[in-house]
Amino acid sequence: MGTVMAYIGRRLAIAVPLLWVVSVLAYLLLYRAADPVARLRQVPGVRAADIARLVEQQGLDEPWYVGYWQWLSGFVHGDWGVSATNPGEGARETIAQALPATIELMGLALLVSALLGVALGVISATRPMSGSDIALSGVSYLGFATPTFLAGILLQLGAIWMRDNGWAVIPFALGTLLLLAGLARVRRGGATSVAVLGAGAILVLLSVALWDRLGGGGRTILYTGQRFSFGHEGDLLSLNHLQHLVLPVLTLSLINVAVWSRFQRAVLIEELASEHVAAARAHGLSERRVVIGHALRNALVPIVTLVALDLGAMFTGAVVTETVFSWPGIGRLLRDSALSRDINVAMGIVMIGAVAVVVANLLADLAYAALDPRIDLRGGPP
Amino acid sequence: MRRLRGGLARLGPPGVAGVVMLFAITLASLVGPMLSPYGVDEQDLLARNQAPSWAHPFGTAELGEDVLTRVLAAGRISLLVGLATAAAATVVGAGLGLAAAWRGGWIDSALSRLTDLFLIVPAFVILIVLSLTFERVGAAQVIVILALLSWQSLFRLTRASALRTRELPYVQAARAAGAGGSRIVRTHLLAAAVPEIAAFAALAVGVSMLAESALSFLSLGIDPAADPSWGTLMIGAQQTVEERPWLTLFPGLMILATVLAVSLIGDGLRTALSPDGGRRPARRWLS
Amino acid sequence: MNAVLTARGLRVTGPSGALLVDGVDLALAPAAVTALVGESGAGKSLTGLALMDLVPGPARLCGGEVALDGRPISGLGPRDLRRVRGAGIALVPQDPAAALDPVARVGAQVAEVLRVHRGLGRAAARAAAAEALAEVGVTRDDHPHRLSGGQRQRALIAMALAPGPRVLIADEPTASLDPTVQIGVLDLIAARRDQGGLAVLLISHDIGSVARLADRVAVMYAGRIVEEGPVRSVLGAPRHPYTAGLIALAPRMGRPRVPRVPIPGSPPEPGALPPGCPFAPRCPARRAACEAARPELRPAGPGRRVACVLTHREASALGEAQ
Repeated sequence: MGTVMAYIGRRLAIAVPLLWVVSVLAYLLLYRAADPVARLRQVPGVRAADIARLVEQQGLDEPWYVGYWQWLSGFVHGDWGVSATNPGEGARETIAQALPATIELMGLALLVSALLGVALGVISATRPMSGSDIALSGVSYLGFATPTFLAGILLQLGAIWMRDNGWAVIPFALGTLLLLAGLARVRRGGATSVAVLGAGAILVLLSVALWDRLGGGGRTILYTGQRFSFGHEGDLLSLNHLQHLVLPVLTLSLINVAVWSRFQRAVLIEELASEHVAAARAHGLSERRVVIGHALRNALVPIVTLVALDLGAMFTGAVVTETVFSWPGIGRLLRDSALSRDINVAMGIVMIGAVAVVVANLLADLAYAALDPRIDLRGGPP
Repeated sequence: MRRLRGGLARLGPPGVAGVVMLFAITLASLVGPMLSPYGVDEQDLLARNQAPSWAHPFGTAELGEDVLTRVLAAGRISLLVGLATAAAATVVGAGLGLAAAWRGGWIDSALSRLTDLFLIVPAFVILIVLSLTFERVGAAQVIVILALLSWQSLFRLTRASALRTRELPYVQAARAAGAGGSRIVRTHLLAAAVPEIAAFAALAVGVSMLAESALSFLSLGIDPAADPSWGTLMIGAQQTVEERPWLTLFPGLMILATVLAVSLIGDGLRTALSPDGGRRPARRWLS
Repeated sequence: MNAVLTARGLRVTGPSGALLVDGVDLALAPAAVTALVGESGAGKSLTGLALMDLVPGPARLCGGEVALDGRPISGLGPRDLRRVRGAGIALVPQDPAAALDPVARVGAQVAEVLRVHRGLGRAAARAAAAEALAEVGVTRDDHPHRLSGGQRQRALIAMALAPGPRVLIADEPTASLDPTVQIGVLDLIAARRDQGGLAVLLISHDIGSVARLADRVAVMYAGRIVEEGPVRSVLGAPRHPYTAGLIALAPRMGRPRVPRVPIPGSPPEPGALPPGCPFAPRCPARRAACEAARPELRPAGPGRRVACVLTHREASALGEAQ
């Protein structure tokens, strides 16, 4: 445990000066470059009194180092300044209100992406160059090339269509997929293929039979205009809330799944060709034990680092997704504050982002060390 | 011509498909607006908000503008941003990477620390902050800020490759034989790094286009009044998609098709130029 | 002699169709070590893998019948084959560092083999694994990278022997070890042979190990066996010039330090074998007959066979000259 704490200490010690430099640069860019006050005056709905308060509080009429010092001393004491566009609140309160929504969205998307990415990667790697592999690779390419906002809008389009025409298309599509998968496996025989085939057929038949009865008629399914429906504020586990999560989480997960599944595929293929996997087979272990217990176990290690490194890129997706779905998180808040020149809020989000990245990288390295016994934390940070 | 065809064939079928797609899109963007019977901003108040038809294959917009013409013209900006960003990032990143690998010492440390700095904040946040510092954001400004965030990956790639090549016996021999530094860097280090650089640069085009379109879509990128890009054409799409999906779908599909094309080209380059086909994932720093 | 494992006509082709193992016959007797020697690339490891139908990727097993205790295993389905591997025939792979799963402790890896083949529960398997490792001299249960090369090799042997196989295939068991450690590993294998009646196939290019441990030896060249017989007589009086060459190259204690001349030339490419005897281009005693037709294995003394046109006298004269 001591080694771990020492490692964390070393990493944080390196991170703090970097964070400080980031704060200085961000301050200069946000508060001093391009005269934010003049821009703020142009934003409709901002009162002169609020602007004056901002100038005084952040020392915007003083030299930059004075202003920075004022910001810094306020920041570490929890006073992140006033929100120029929300006069009643401070920047910190505004951000704190929006934070849970983003954590919920990104957390779920992370989970979904990781599970799907690994699963699809395993499917591809265990049948390289097969029809499924090529199909999945094609889907990955498409997923990577689709701008996140386009994906979100397309999903919304789908939800609208389902609002008018019912959601029978979901079990129908699922059933067809299962049917195809079952057909592909039917040559190998076995109980699972029959089960999959049967489930697929049932779903397809049921959905066709009940087509007109499943939704439609103007009732929205999965369509998100806000995070909760009225009357269900804060009811996190309600069906209503969860239903609103589906589309944004799927949108945010898309590109992750595309990239991670390809990476997992490559890593797993390498592992499956390794000596110790061949030796495991020589010991008479079943294919499942070999693939999951030995090959996949080793192949999961690099994915952890990749996930952490992609966290910053995922934030991009979050900003866009929250904008498309009007999700009240800090991504949308960043965009709104940028448009309205609410510099205190923007600065706060920048610092949160930086700290989050530092923490995520640290967690990733710790997880990496936990998963791979060859890693010795006593050495310098990677 | 034959060498070109032979070279193209090495990209593999997907790579060739990518080249063809990119070529078609570029050609359409450059030439299309000139050939179109409609002007880019020409308004026809009698034909507002029409669905796609023979007269207007992509439909019309708010004030009767022909969407097809606007989409093709916007392609010029989007492609320009993508290609110029990738080019700038490659030149700067690879150049600095080679310098860091060859000189070592404080230059290497300083540059590496610099790239660490950029890694600490989510790239998109930096993009947004930077775009706020300009009075007016046009294509040129976007290219600058996107390149500012893209050079690091090429820096690391080139530096790693050059460090490996530097230790190889034939390079040591050249140094012993008295070959000058810049000569070694150019002929040996750079040559060895070109395959990886080329593949990554192609990918960078796609990533830059995705980043630009995302920024512009959020109204934080290119000023739509100045230069329309595919991203700016989609501003507010989530509101209009229900009534007028053609306004959203066509620019969106163009982005998709172009990024797909350069991804295929990038992968084709990777398999064509390097023996192991590389397994590093496309690092998304801006998407 | 009741052979535990018999193989007839094993054939393995490479990716381009070239024969890497060309019609090899083997018979492994119980409580005996049979060595398979030759230079790298002769096809020794592939032969061992072919016995278990584990020929890797680009190469393919395309012929031959293997029988364990008289029952054929060459056409078995995957499930039965899995049971044979490990419980019937066990393999100690070539590179101990690479052959062990880096993320799991060796105890857990041995325990897994025991759970699969002997149906033991978790706790019982762990206990049995610890015992098995202790028996081979590995007292610390750790991750492979924390163990020494010798300990890793012993752990692999423990893993191979744990399910109680009839046959052990040891592929270059001493290749990556220091000489002092090598002896320990060889003695370990010898003990198992003596105690448990294990039939061992020792694949090695090290004549010294073979001399120390083996009862019979088969010499491979270019995918074929060119000489075989009891180890004393083959090593003492080789009938094939290649065998003589290998023996002359082996470092031996107590012999005067004569300069060792390596066999000139190099082994042929699998797809480009010369006509006639594949060793002819490098053979100091070649004659016209050698390039005309490929010599077949024929009897050459009690329990011995050789694929060479030389007579007994000519071979002895050659051996002395070297």
